[in-house]
Amino acid sequence: MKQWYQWMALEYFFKRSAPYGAYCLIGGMIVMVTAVLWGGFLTPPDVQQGEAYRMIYMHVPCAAGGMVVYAGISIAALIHWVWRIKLADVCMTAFVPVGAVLTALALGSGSIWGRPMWGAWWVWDARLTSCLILLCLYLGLMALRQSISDGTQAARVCAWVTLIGALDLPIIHYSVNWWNTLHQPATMLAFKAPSIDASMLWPLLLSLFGMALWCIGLGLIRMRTLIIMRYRHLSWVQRYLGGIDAAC
Amino acid sequence: MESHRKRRVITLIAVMLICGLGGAMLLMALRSHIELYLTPTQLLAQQSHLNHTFRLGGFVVMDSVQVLPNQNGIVFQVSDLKHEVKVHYKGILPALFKPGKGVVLSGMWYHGQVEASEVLAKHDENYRPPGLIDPSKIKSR
Repeated sequence: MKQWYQWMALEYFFKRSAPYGAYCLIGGMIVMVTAVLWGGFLTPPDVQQGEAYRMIYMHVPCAAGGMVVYAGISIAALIHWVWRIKLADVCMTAFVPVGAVLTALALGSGSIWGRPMWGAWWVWDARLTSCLILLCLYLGLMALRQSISDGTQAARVCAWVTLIGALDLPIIHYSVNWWNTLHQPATMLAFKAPSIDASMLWPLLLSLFGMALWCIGLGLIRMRTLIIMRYRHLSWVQRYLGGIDAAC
Repeated sequence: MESHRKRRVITLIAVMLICGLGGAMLLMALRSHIELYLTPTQLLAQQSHLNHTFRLGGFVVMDSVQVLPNQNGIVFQVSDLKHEVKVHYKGILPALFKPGKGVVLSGMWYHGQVEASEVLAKHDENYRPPGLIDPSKIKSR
């Protein structure tokens, strides 16, 4: 009988997830390119910011991606801490660099936009600083994982750091409401109709969807690679690797 | 749920609560330092800021921007709809600096007005193409 929790077993996950990573990654790339071209060339310029507002089609999906990936690894950390499921630890490890790159891109694209619009590359604003802390959390998790040689120990320590670090997420989200910041308040996630014209909103939603697909695809591929690297001594992994060797 | 899992969940909730509470207290204590800028009302209330550099944020009052002769910079009023502060600035203005729009500047008090050393534009969260009516303005009327 097929049951959903079979997906939590490493072998079942590895064998059944094979094509989805590539599908999501390629699909995500196509959607992202479409959204950026649509937003970059076909939408009208903004009445105040002119052409420079088009950075939104890179900045917003990257920033949202960085935060959602962190929320995802926090859930994986919780599952790993309570139920000790190995796949949750694989997920936790695999998605960290993905989130780190997205957060770095969000900070970089925001900085490039900020220079002409605000008049400064960087300000120590609550939103910007809390995002920089998120990037430091990602980098710290990557370093922490490398620094502990015992895999079980590393997984537990990383789960704790991930979960405590998750307290930064509400701070990032509400920073623009709680304090006087230079960063503008939310355009889409406020409790009102989006304060962006529909012609600009659609490509933005498409870019968010593309980013989600791309993240899931990249994360799945990284999870599968990690499973091979970590559990190469298991007989079913050996058989899989043997099959590849024979095919070459 | 088995007892050892229950214990792990309880430990986790307890640690998260303590860290969350600690973090919240830290942020409360640092509140005035986290704030990027003061509003004109806060600035006029906090006379302690008289002797050092502070950041001021608000709206540039319509028709208040005056360009001084002999390249002596510009003067304008910054308002939070309750109080207004007069600002003098000599330097390069960001692209989004416009009367009626948001501004954040750093400066010091000098002869009853703010002598700004840096002026940044604060952008709002509205995006629309040119030629369309601003939906937020329709609502306010």
